[in-house]
Amino acid sequence: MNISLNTQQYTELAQDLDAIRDHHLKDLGQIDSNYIRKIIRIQRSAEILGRIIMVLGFIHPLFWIVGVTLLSIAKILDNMEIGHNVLHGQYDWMNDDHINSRNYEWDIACDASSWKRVHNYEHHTYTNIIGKDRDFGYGLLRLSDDIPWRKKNLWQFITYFNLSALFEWGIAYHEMAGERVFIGKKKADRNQQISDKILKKKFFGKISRQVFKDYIFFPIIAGPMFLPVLIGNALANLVRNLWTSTIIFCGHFTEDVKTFSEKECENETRGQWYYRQMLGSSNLTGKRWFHIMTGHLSCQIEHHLFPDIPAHRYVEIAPKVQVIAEKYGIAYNTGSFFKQYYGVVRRVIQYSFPDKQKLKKA
Amino acid sequence: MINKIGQRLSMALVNQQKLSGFFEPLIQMFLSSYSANKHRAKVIRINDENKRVFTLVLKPSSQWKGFNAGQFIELIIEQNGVQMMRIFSISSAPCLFKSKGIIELSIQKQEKGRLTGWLHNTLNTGQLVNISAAKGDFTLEEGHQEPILLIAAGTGITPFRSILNQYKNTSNIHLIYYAKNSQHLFTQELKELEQQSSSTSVAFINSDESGRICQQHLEKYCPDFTERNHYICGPSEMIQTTQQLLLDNNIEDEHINFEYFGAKPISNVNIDTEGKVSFIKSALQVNSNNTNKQTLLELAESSDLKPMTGCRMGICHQCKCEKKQGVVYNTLTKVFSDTGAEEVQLCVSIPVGDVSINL
Repeated sequence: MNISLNTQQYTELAQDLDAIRDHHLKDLGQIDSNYIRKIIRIQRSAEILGRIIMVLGFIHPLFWIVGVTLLSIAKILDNMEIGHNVLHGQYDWMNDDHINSRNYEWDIACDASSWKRVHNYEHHTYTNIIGKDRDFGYGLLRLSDDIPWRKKNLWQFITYFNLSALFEWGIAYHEMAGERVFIGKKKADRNQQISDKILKKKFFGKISRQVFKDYIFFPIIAGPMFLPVLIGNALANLVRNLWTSTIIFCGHFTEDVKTFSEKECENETRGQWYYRQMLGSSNLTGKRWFHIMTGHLSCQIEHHLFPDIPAHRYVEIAPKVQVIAEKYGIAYNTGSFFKQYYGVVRRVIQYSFPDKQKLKKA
Repeated sequence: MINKIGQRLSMALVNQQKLSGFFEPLIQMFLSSYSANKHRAKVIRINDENKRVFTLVLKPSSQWKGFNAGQFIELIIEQNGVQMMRIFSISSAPCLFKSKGIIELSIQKQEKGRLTGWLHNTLNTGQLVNISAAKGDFTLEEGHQEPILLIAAGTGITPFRSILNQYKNTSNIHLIYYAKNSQHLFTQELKELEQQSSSTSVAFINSDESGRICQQHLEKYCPDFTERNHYICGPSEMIQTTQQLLLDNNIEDEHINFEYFGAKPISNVNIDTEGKVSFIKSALQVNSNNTNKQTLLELAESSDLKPMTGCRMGICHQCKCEKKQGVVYNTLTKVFSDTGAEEVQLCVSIPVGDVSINL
């Protein structure tokens, strides 16, 4: 059980974490730009080779398997270590036309600017505040007793599985659902900056480009290999969907991750904001390649504390954050992939059922 | 039409405006400094003009389309992982580019500047840098007849060196050139030009002795100045004074051309500087003041602009905009920006002096 800190401690917590942040922001340079360029080169090579080798499946099915694997890796790298991090502005200081949060567009159904609105702003500012962070359960899953139980929650494990398999479509539609663009009653406090018309145009534009690429263009130019390439592309997208959704669920919906109410977070100080970010996230331990394939979301705590520091630095930052957590007696939620994923599954199932405490009281 | 289809196809297949943008990082493994949007240029040599100014001789790649005398280019070079961009007038003539394929940039080393001194120390013969296409309309009109008066101060001579060399045989050009402590650049070359060409004349003025530009100077060094087309290049006060002087002599506005040279270097500004913030796309200007410091976002909103915003605390990067010129102070990172063009977060940036934003 976490006890809240006093005002003095919150101030000191903010100072300690700001010191880490300042150190790394000052240190940005060639190492970081070389790193992201190297990852981009690996991603591009994997994508090109993957698409070509997949077509060679007519020689031996093994080629097809290698091709699909490479394309899956390319899509995961593009979405996680490159796209997600570049869109957070982690590399904007490089002043590079192609590697910045304004111009980057990624290989996923979700339009990058929509992602920046919902994810970078809503989710990162209001992390795990029930009612404000729509990423908490995505409006589909009940993952806390703060959310009233409904009958549909009984089969939410199946909903969860479907969401994982179709994850890219889920996040593409996420903002449209929140803004009630197609169905539902419009909310009074809507973001008026973008009209429904533009939202729809961007939404359909991006999904049609993605569908055209993976399910029309590349299958057609593969000629007689049309069907294997079509299936291979679909499979690569599925692998990416399952992987990203699993990693993201491990970052926020493990058993011990805390939620907050809107009231608790009114007039929040920087220290309190940091505190909430630490309790609202959980980490995964693993090897270097594993961290890269998760886009360093395996260091979800560090990512939430410092969303615009180049993610490859999180591994180095994590032990320091852990020391700070200990100093203030704040829980630091970390563990192996299997331990954390088991926690996610338990949480999804646990909250499928009504709140026992409340039932008793009633 | 074909361009548009190509762009749409590229967006669909690789999520890039140009297919070459997707392949750029791979091509760079074989062609260093390759860029999908910029040209490459090779450093031929560096000549020191004096202690503070050096000339960088470049050979642009064959795709580079050339320039008109008086135009400038963007020079882009990576410094510690950052793509640094600076604007320089081309100081050599187009005829030299035609015959030898080279261009020259004459660069003043800014005291405490981030890039110019570093360039001088770091650039080596044979090294590759990136440049943009030539830009700017500070050029003589095609087939002009009128005699020309060029007025330069300090390193403002650079575009005029190009113009003088290009038009030495065809135009009647007079140059009035101010420099402190008689530190004129290209003195020898300009004197030779004067001797070779009967239609070219130069007046060198030591501004420490003779003072700044004034009515007497114009009458003394160029008696027929009212009948000429005017081109002015130098520091902003000098441009403003000269422009006003010419207008007072009933010279029409359309016959007065001028080119401002870059923003002040960071060493010359401090956080208390008041200034004008220009929002270029919406053609608006607001004053930023010291007593009530406001972020660029607040200033934009107070002028009824509605830039894209999000968290307003520097996290979400939605309010990022291109700063064209000027220095801003980032309240989050506590650092001053560079003077050139770059992306800034409006919500955590305070303007320091004059700043222009592409909004």
